[in-house]
Amino acid sequence: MSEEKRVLLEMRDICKSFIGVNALKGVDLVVREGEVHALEGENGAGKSVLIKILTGIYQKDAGTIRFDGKEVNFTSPAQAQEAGIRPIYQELTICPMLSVAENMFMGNEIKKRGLIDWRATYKRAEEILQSVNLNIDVRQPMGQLSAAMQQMVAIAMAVSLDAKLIIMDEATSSLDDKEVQSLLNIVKELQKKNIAIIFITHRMNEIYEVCERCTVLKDGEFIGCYDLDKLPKLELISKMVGRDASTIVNFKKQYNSDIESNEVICEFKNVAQGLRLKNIEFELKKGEVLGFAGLLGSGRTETGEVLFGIRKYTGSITVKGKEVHYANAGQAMKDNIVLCPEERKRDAIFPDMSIEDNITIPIMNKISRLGFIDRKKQAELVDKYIQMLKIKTPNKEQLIKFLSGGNQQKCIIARAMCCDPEIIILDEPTRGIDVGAKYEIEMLIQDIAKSGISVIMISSILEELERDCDRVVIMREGIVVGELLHEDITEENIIHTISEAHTN
Amino acid sequence: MENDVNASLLQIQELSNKALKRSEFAKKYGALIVFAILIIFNLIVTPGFVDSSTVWNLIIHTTTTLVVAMGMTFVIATAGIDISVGSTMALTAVVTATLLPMLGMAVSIMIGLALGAGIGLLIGTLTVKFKIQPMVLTLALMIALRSIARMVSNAKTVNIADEGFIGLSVNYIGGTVPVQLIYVVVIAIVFYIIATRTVFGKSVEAIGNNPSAARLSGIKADKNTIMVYVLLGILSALAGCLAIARTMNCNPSSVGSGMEMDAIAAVVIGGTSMMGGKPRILGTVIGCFIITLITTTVNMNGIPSEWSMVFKAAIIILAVYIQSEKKIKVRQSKIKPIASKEV
Repeated sequence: MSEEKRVLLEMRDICKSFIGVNALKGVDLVVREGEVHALEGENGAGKSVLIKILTGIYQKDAGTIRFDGKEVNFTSPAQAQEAGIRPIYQELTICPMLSVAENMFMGNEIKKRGLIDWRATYKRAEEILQSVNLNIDVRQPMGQLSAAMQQMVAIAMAVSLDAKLIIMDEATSSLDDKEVQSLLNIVKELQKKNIAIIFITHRMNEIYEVCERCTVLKDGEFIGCYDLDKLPKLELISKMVGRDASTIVNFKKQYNSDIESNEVICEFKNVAQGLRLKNIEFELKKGEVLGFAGLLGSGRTETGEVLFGIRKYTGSITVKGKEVHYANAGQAMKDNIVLCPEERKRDAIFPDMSIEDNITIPIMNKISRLGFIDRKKQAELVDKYIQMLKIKTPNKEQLIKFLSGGNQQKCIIARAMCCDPEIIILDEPTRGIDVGAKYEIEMLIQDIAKSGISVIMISSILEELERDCDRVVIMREGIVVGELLHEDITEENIIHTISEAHTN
Repeated sequence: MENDVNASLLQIQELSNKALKRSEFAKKYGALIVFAILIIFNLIVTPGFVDSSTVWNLIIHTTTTLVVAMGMTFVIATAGIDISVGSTMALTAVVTATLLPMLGMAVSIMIGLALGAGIGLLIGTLTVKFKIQPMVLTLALMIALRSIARMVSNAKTVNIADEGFIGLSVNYIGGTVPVQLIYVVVIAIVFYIIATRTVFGKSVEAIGNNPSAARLSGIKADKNTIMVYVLLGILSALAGCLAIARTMNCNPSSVGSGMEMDAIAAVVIGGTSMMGGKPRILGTVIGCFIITLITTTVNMNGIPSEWSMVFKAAIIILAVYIQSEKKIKVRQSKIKPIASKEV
């Protein structure tokens, strides 16, 4: 069937180099009308460069681009948009304080006698959103919408501007399952309207849910273009990472039932906080990986924050046998509890500081004498963790902002490790990280637990919980609704527990 | 930025490193370049510039600004600001000058410094705990403290007779080298070490770079931020002492007037971002010398002194332009097409 569709975009033999280094070496990308086309590859494979050439941000060195029957060569993003190519980026450029309608028509205002015609603006904005089944108040500030809603507004806007090809670059990476679903539904709607979509994501399941074909890149080279119904997931990942992926995907934790009889290191009883947490109760044992599962808003992240002392609560928390009441992160860290936050960029990274400083910042007091940092000790520690966690960096003076997402995350885990923790809270440890690095981080979590540290792993990716956890606590709307152990931890069981709690 | 790096990890990393080095170079040496240009200009144009007395005068006139600017560097590194420094100087100086005949040098200086610390503590606490914008808060204090300073001496100039106290600023080693040379060298070294090698310096940098991450890393952001204002208060008081010791009298209306602008300009020229981040001490030191050198240039060439302000403004804009990110991007895009043609 797909053979009948007209070819909309044809990029052939695209080459691009930066100061003599080849970023793309003869890459093809062919997208048909009304097709959802996945573009996959690890970080550094050249996906973003290819997209930037297509959207006119970079200029190609060689190759041809045909779009909508004509040969094109966009020299600015405006030209590409004019032609009907609309990229929707992971981090949307919005003005959070302005209304939804204002954001939608920014730079393109509907005017009457030189002034903005607000009535027409609101009416048109509502029409556009309704065309993709969105019913929201267009007068509310954009910042009040969830990340998913913002994405959908951006998509609706693209559709209204006669987009022929929409590029979704990591559009789903910061959304939870439910939001991803509604976004994918919109993608399917667009497909019916014969709009082509290039879909870039690190989440394999999404590819198989909405995409028809997939182009795979590796190290700037074109690996191939495949029909997804003929290419099993395992093979796709193998092609992306360039080696047999079965070790990654088929990895399953070796359970050690002795852990169940280990001492309880931390216990929550009746913990509540405002509307977010109503009744959280669980036990954490020494050396176990405890997963927190649940939808967004279920209280997973909040529970982690309560334990780390950065969120007020009522109820009782016991750590190492004594009741505690942490008022800030520093107090929790004194009891050897550390947190690797969900929003790495916002809450963890000091972008303009070196890797060395980024890793050792919480323990600077410990490695200093009279306030002076012991540089030798600092260097030794950092070297040790760069080796242990295989952080890829030319040197430890490198600013952390120049590392890839996976390596940044490793630095943040190294930061947690050098505090000599007994409890590590990892909030979405694999978010925004490519397949290969994801595997390394998951292995790292196992190693950490083996060394006797208790890990709390908060994740919206159920497969991950299934692979990595000894035990999973399932939450719904601030209440613990279930617990699964060892082999019982499966995606189906987790979903089942959540939905069962819903019907009760 | 992050996406670019992901695009082609190692290759682009190299590219970013180059961009980084260029941007770091501009931030580190931007002030030095402007300083060099000024010196060369003076060597050619200004009559009698090549003289050891020019150097000594430059150092003498820079010292007070330098003392204040050291503290200001840390305040700006936390993304804060304090424009009341000149008035703090006036108040602490007039108190020290008034107490000098009664309590002697050591005690009255200590009281002055303690008062400066108290003012810093007040600003820090109101900023951190009561969330008052430091810009507005210190603007109000700038007006209030200057008035209080006048009240202390009934708006009269207090004369200073204490030989030891005057010796703080009027003292020549071997008859020619001013004591200020020692102050400048010691202060620059001490604060450079504080900024780069101490927990306090790194904490300040972290707070300015990402306050949220600093809080989650267990850094006591409130305490460190208050400390930064206290430090600036003490340094302002010290600068006040050095200023009145040199003039041998204390006029509460003129001591430290315009100091806030000189200090902030020196910090900005030195490459510390107003958005917070790395405190660039050596940059600030050069920034201070640039500010003084402009005045010297204007005076020695017999240009009406009104013009010195205009030149100051022009130099500040030039120095900040050299360091601006925009400049770097322009260079990058110039490089790319050339490279792509080669392939």
